[in-house]
Amino acid sequence: MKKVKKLLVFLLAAVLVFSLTACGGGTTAPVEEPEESEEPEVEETEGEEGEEEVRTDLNMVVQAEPVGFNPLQTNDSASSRINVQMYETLFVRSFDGQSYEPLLAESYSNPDDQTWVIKLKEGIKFHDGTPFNAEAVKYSLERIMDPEYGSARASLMASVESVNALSEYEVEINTKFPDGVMLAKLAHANGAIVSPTAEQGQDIMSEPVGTGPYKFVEFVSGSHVKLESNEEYWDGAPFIKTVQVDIVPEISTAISKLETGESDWFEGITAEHLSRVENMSGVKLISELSGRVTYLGVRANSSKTGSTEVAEVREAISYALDKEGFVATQNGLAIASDSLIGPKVFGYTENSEDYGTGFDMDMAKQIVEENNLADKPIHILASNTSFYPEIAEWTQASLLEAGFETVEIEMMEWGAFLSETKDENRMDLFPLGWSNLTGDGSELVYPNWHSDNIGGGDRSYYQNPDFEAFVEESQMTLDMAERLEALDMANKTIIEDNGVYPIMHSNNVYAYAEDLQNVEMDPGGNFYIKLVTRK
Amino acid sequence: MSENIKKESYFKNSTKKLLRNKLATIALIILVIELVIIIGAPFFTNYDPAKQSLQERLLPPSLSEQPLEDYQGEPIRDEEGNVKYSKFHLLGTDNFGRDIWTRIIYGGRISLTVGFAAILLGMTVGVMAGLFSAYYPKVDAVVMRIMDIMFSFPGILLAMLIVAMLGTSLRNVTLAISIWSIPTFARLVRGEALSVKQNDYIKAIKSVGAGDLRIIFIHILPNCVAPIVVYSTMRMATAILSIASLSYLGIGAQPPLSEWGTMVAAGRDYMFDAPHMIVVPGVAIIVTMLCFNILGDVLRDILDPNLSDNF
Repeated sequence: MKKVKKLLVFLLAAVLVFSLTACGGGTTAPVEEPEESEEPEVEETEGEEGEEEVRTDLNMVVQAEPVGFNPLQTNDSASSRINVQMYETLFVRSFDGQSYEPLLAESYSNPDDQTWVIKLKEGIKFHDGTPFNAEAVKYSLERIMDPEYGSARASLMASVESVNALSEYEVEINTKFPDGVMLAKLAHANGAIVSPTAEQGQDIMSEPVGTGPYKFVEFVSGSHVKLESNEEYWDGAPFIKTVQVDIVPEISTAISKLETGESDWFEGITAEHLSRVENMSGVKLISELSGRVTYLGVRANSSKTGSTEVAEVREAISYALDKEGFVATQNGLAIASDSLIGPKVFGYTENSEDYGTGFDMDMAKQIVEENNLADKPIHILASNTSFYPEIAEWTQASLLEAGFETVEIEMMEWGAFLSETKDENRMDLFPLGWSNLTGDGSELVYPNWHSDNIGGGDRSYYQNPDFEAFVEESQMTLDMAERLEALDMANKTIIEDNGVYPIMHSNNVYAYAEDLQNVEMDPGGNFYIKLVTRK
Repeated sequence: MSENIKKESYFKNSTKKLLRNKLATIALIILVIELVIIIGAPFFTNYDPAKQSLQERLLPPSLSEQPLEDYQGEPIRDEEGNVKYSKFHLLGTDNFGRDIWTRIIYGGRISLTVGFAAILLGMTVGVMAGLFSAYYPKVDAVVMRIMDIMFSFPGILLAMLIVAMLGTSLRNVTLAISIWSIPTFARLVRGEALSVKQNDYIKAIKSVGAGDLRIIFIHILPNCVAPIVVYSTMRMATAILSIASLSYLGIGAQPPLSEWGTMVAAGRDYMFDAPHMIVVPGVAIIVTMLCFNILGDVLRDILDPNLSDNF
């Protein structure tokens, strides 16, 4: 009898649980059946444009959550991907990476080596109605220059002496020295122009206002970002009207969304998922060499344990890393390299690969043994996204093999990683990457390793007067041949000093639904939704 | 004298009953074999669980040595042009070319040690709390309310909270899982002790002048052993799963230590290309848990037929 009763109770409980999940399922059901849920939207567009059954929405899925929506104060690619849809820069890098074209600017001229006069496009308005003019440009650029504002990329404006508004639509930029990278800097996503009224009146980290083709709708932390088209966009309203960016940190789940058609676009497919995406029907996979470098950063100063401040330890680490071996695990999505400046970046020469020590485990073991380094502890701090955990684990195994006895890994979430790696004495080694938005080597070595940017973009605390002289030289001249040589020397100096361990130069790998057209990514990894249409 | 004989026969009797149950015998044998392999891990493998060999990555389980291929499916050759062969990997290799069999048996060390330590700790504290609560009504009021508070947290969340507060390390994981087991043990023992306390022989020994501690530990505790044994055995399964869960979430065992949950987490990314990476540790977890649960179930039936209705 008791057993029968128990069974009944169990059945009742089961029924209750199932009915509860059924209720919960009600909210997720439309997502699983895209045709049903999107019908109303299709009808809407029919009314507006008279077209039939062409979807004008775009669903993207990203792994990392954007840090914020103020382009002047953020410098992570997760934020940039979204911010470039809402904000615009004076210039923009062409898709082939070879030239810079005016965007908000109309044209520019150089009365002398240190003066840039930029004519602006007329009649453009920010999303909040503020007119775009010389004052707005002056305001935004001066914000970047203001040390108290704490711009993540103050380095962009480091060479600027002053910014003046000559007239309503004419801006003059005076530099301290002839700046060869000026256009590249003005084309950088972090050099975007923000609405001065909005910037003063509200926190544009959470309520962004730009001139771009998309307006901000909402951001739910850990869930999604929503954008809508700016119908008054100066270059004509874009085809895609609504954009939803889902934040899914777990890559398998993110790729599943692409597979089921819930998502139209995904970037950052790693090697182990490549074959899965290749085999999906209705999805296009693009893989092309980019300006992105992945490196193992090292604290030659201000290290947590003090170990990596010892030159021999850094040398041993350099010998212990089998980059070729690691890159073989990337299924052809990257090339191993001993050069910090990659083949797609200005500053790369045919000698660039010769500066590193190369892999030699026996040499590493010998150095560790001869200098009694075995008891030097090494602390690796890594982000838990992308292939960084794998790099950390591979580094750990390599160093243990080389003879270091204590090699620890600490993993944390992307946002926390970016902010904690700026702290003093925080770690010894940290894997990180740099997608070079400008394609210029100066914009890699200066923000990341020049001591001007310690506590900002410089997480390595690297200090070497020779290196800094070369970096500065590379920025201070308009002569491209001289710049190339200076960058080459800077590259050589930091590599020979083991101030950084380049690992590989990666491809941009992204996939999108086949019915999307005009999907193009610039070598810096940004892609522009305004160009996209659907079949 | 007569008490001793009775005790022995009770234990013998229980063991006999246990071994008469086929399922329980199989579970016991599997667990013993597992324990032997795990304790003697270095004798059962030639590899180092942390040693990476990137050329041999993602090899499927196999009974022989396998030719090495690069990512395009081209064979890897040595200087003389001969195709290179991998070493022998029974259960294949993971994404860093580490031998999975080796990692499973070394990982089992962590699972079982942490599980055992956590249960022992949680049991000791929980049993104490339960016994004293049952005996002293004043203690009961305070201690059982604390247990109620602990009950109100969902188990794994409580463990995550504790690890987040104390920092990620195996010691803290052990602590977290033991703290999480305390309230159930306390409630179980309290209920048992309360009913034992009502017995005439307790009243009798009290009237003779026996001290409180003597009564609690010599006369009440032995009568609560059966449910404690049963519950510990079943709890062991939960503990192993919890360690795996915490490791899966990245707050348990840290690399390069291998642990079953970490192995499942790493294998997740390779689910389609190398399913063995996720299947092997998954099976290890399931088999171990199943064995502990079966054993617990059978023990419960043998030790206290009435107990099954209390759950």
